[in-house]
Amino acid sequence: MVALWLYVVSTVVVAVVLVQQLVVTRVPARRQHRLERLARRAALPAAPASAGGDLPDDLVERLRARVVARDLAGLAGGLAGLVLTTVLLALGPELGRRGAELEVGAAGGGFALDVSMLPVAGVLLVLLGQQVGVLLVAGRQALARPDGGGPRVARATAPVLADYVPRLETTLVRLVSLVPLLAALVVGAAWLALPAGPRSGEGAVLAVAALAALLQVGVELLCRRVLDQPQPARSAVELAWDDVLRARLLRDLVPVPLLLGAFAGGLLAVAALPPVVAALGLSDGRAVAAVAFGVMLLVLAVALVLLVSVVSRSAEQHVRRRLWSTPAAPAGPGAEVAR
Amino acid sequence: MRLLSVDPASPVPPYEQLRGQVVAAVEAGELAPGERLPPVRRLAADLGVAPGTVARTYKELEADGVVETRGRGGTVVAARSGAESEAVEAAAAYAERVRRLGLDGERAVALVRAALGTT
Repeated sequence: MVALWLYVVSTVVVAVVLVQQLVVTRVPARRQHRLERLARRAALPAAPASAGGDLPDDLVERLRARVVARDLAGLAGGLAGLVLTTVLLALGPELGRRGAELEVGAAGGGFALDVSMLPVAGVLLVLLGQQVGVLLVAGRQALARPDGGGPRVARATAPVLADYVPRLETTLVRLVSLVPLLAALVVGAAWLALPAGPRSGEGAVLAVAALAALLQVGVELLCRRVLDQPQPARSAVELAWDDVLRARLLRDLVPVPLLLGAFAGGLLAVAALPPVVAALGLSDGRAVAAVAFGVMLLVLAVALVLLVSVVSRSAEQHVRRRLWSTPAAPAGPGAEVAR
Repeated sequence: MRLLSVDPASPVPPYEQLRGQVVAAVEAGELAPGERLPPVRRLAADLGVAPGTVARTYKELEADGVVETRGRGGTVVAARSGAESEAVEAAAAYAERVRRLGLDGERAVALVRAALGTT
């Protein structure tokens, strides 16, 4: 009940913030302020020529629109996740009762609907909604072309994922996403070793592991797709701005598989415990419990450290260091990028 | 970091603009041997030219031994011979020295020609 009210309050707050942002971001000065805040972090110019700056007015307007649209889409997606979780929580007791009725028992591989984890899973839904929103908008923006003919510039080498997201981050996310699969293997082996008997929830446990793995594969494919997108630009500054926005998008993809991997890993570690104890024929399962609990804590700790790193470290500075550490060699208009 | 650009208003054909810039970047050491150039379609989309234009540039660069195509590995800057690599380094050092001395480019090239006995 407390969780339901927490989600109701959060939904109302985010809805109010979204409406407020929709109104506020219609004011050009506010849009420019938001762009300049990002520009300071990225060490890029953001002032339009009409205000005595270096950038063409149309470019600044496009940048403002991209930054604002991303933020609003993220808020709207997060709100959708909150609404969905709130509805599920409100219907929770009913869903649990129906799920229990539908369960066909161990022989048929029953699937009990356990709503007790919904408040935690709701956090994932909110993040997922936020990122789907960001991705939909960013994907559409990536296909936009600059207006007019004029000279165009492009990088002479193909950038890779590590140019946008630190390699350590991607490696650890991949490792965390492997944990649920390993845990599922352990659970599966333990179940096979057990004589047939009453079981519950194995379908749900394996589904969570499969979902975590699928999500990670999906994110990898999405990253590749984003990297393959063209970066049409009329100047080095425009290209640098696109790099910064692209780095933010790719960094946005990290938290969901990370949290789902950690969540699924923890869930599976707990689920694996009883069958492993039984399969090993241990009368005292405390040692196994300690190991499983330790693994779960380790996975959660790695996930937490990563999450803090993702939230606290600037995507803008990493991409500037990797791709723009030396001034652009003159190859066309506006080749020099402010440092 | 090296940028490539194409100016549609230039009398120089786009494929030739690109070829010249890649050769200059390789000779200046800004593109190292083994570095991967963007895929044809990607670079064409970035620069707003036809894929055939970029493909022609890469083909000519390959014929000149500047780049090599490695199937799925894409187009990469070709490795130079030891002597050529040393000559490129020496040329870069000479160019740097000339800049510091304040000599103009044409005079510097004339001095090299004289030293080579090709004037």
